[in-house]
Amino acid sequence: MKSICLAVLFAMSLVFPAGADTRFDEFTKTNATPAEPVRVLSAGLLGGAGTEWLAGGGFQTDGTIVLAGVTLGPVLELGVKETVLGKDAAVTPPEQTPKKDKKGNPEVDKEGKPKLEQFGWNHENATAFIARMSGDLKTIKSVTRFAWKSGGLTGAVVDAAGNIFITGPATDAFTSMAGDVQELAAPVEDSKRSGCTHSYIARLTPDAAKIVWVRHVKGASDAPALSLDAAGRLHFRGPDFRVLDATGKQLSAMPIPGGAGGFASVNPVDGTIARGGEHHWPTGREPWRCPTLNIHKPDGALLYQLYDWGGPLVGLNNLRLVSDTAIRGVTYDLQGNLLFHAWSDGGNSVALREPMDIRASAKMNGLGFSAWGAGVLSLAYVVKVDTKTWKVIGGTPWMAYMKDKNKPNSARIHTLASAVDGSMCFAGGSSHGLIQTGNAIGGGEPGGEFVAVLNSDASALRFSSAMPACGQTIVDDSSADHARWGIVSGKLDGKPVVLFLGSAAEKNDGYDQSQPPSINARQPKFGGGATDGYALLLDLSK
Amino acid sequence: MNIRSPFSLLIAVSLAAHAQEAATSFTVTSTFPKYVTADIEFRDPTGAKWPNFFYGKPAGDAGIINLNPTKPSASFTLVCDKMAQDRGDQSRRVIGELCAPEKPPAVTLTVTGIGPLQATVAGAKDKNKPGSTAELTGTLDIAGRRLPVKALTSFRQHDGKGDEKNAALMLDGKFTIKASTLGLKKLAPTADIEVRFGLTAYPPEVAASGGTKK
Repeated sequence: MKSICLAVLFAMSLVFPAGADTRFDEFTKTNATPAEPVRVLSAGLLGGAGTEWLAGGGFQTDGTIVLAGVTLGPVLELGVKETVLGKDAAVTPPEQTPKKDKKGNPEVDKEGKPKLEQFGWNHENATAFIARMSGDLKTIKSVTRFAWKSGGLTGAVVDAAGNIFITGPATDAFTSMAGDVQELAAPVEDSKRSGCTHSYIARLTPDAAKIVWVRHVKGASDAPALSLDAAGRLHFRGPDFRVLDATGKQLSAMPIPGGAGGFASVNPVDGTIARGGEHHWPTGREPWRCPTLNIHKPDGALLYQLYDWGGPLVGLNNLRLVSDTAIRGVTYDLQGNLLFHAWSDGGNSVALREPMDIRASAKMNGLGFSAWGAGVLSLAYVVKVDTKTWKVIGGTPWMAYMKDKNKPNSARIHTLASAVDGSMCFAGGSSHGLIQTGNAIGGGEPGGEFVAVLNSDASALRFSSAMPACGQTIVDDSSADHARWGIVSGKLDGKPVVLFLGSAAEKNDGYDQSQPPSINARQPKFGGGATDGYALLLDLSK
Repeated sequence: MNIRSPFSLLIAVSLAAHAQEAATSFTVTSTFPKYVTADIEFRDPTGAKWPNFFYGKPAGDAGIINLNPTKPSASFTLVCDKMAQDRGDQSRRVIGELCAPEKPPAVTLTVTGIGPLQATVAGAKDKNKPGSTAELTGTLDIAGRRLPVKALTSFRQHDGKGDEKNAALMLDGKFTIKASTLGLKKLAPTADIEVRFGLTAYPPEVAASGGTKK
């Protein structure tokens, strides 16, 4: 393998002599004027003196934008008197714990200061809040908060009637909520997951002033998630999968197929379930991390086994697709196409092949990104699969490129979602050399936390921007790398839009010291605490 | 910059060197190497059905391939008893009806003869590796059926540089069968199924020495 790489490097050194443009230059130039650009409508903070972040939301037909998130307290203070649902408990300021390395030693930054763990969705102080905003995000219409420490928030949806549904980790304080509160039967199987032990789903009135109903369930769970299908039913992923109607009636429940580990999502069109992950399967010559993507019938039975080729096969001399590879997150679009993001430690990855045909190259080259010249690094992949043919209908490897050497650099994706117009929206972290579009808003170095939007078949990059100081909290664990953003898409005044929702610190501590990007923002300045909520609103109309 | 000239020079030098060094005799054994060296795949040329991928190792220790230009010979057996993606519904695969979930049939290719060798023009992918083609004859056994096989097969000498650390001979063979010969009911009897197999064979001295660690 080394000799092949050296030969390629030698060949490319002839093509790209020293001083010539690198692929960073080439792709930055190519994407300076995106063919299908998005328009940044607003980017800014939402936070008071306490610690907050945003995780989900939706759009109401009157143009109201619902932003939902978490406050760790000890105050919220968004500038509008908040409605409190439930009986407040005492809350103390959250403390960030020192970050430790694999050996348990405290980690320090370049200046010798201790690094701190990021706050996450299952913090003991986690308290859900909802801010209803004007369509330009300039005005707060209302703020509603649950009683302190009663429950966090990891997902939110808004139905066609404007009803607000939220989910997250719960505490026993939930049982003291006024109104229709019911505990659902515990799962029949222990999921052996470890994020939380109690989760809830709640419906709020469209003005978020009252709880209509609360359903809660005890059982080990990853970050609870919520989605709406075309019929208006709620699909809840907690300790298991449950479907509820808008009245809170549970329609079905079933264990998440495959047990602990991995990432699962339900197809809103036919109820099939995708479950992605990885396992170790040596080739016989080297260890190998093998990606798995199992498709289950609605009853949980295995339907198709995709990508899971096995080490001995990929290790064959006539294949050698031996870059470690893993599926890191799965989701569906409204048409039932499967979207997932993957990781590999090199360019010889099965992620570039069809899910059911290892010898067929998948449609994964729309942007022209490739990993030639790479050493060991982290590459990411965005992939869309037609669930009728199970062929890739659009995708791309995603990576940074070094500015001064013609070599790829690492990038990771930790959040992926489809927009209402089919665009593929994702966020992650990048080493230096992120390829940004001309409409980027970061303003600093090309690296660190980023958000990006591809068109529907990944043949064009519509938006890519470093997001300095953003992505400072873990909003859920829908990805192996822990999501720092929630992505919500819908229509606003008839136009397709997407919201990237997360958090921001006062200033960046990565490649530059930039402040969080601020465009048409109600709150351009940091409010206090460890983080504020952060919202980026993009117009996807062409 | 014209990058063709230095490459052309490299290729010419490499071809000359390999022509002098190329081995003609290779062993095909179950004991060397430890890793999998053989695969057989079935493919619907229309693309309507998904392919089936089998892999495994040679059977026994007596397999040989001799590429003596005047008197080539070949005798070996490949047993590919593992199938990738063998769980779940197999009905979309081209020979899926022969493959119960987690109970795929073993596929055995037995080569008993070889036709005249034809030198090949260096392809774009393997510019510096001399090759040849020949027709291998034998049988394919699967699910209780034995089919005669004539497989157009390419032979490519490998110099031991790269992921495969041993000098070796890479085989890639192809032949076509009809769906009816496998008793398939869900394809038209006359539907073609393309079969491809791959194998890595090794010079006897490499196999005897145990090769490199990988």
